[in-house]
Amino acid sequence: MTKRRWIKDYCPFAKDQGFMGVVGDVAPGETVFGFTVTLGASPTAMVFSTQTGSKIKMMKDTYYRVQVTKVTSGSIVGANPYIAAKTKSQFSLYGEVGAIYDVIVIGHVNY
Amino acid sequence: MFNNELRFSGQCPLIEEFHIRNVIAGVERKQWAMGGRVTLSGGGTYSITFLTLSGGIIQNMTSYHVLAQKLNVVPTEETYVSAKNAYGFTVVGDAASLNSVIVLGEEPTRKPALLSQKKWAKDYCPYCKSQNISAIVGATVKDQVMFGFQATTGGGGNVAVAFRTVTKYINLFGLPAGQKDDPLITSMEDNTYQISITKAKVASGAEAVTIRPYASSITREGFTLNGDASKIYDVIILGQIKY
Repeated sequence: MTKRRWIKDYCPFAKDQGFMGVVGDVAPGETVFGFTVTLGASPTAMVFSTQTGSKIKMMKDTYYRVQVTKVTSGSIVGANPYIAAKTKSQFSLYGEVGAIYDVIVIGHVNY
Repeated sequence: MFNNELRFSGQCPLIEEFHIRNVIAGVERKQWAMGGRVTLSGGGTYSITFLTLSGGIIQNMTSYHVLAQKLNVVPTEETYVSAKNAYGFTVVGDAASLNSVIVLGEEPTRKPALLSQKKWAKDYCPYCKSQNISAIVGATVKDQVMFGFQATTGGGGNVAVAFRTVTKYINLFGLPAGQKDDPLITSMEDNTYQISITKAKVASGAEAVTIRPYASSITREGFTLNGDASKIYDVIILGQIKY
């Protein structure tokens, strides 16, 4: 094979999906997923099974990484969002009540 | 999970060829990850479309999540995302500031599939199945990886992050010293990778952000993470890897 070609040129599934390539990782077996949440209170427990519609029920450990960005239209950031109290099934999200946040998580999933 | 024999690169010749040793799994059947850097206008905004961000590959998303992070200088106004729609969004923050943007989203099916659209990657790929991966995440550029780690600032409110240190198993997953000490990455291809930082206290209880976190002194081998003194931060990187 040649480095000049793309994964889609070899992998039928990637071609079928229209993927030019696939996203790599440095550690084996990790999963990335995201969800959008409107904060009803600060903090609010982000329960994985609830936020992902049961696609993720639990992480394998607490070494997952979480990123949060405010996505409320036209609303500057007052209090910066942050997280605390990571467990395998949830974490606490702190931020502005009523604000909308995009959350992305990377880690080992227990399903 | 930490057995090297389970690495994708040991099983899939495509992954070996294309310079990424593992793939990151997804939970949606057709999901992309992409990113870029944007410099906000004098008014502190930058509207971007998926067409631009993906280099003309993706026009619209059915749903997506965005991370935006100011680089190089402490944020006066924390960067946020406004006006999300199916074709793009607007990044808002400090005037003329440089920001990393990371998008994880699902694209609608645009054409009849050669393979059944009802199937997942694991239904076709024995390597995915062996790794318990249902779906893989698409990329718009080659050799792109997405990974996360944790970093703790020192008493001065910053820490020099070296990829070769933070991607050791002992630091990624808390394995005992001497077990899996080799770093999983030592260098990115260049210094234009995307960075997202969020304060992440391990214990429960409030701990408000005083200094808005940001990355500076970005090189291929790492960067300086700036924030509150002696605090823990979660970090996600998206970019092309060199190893």
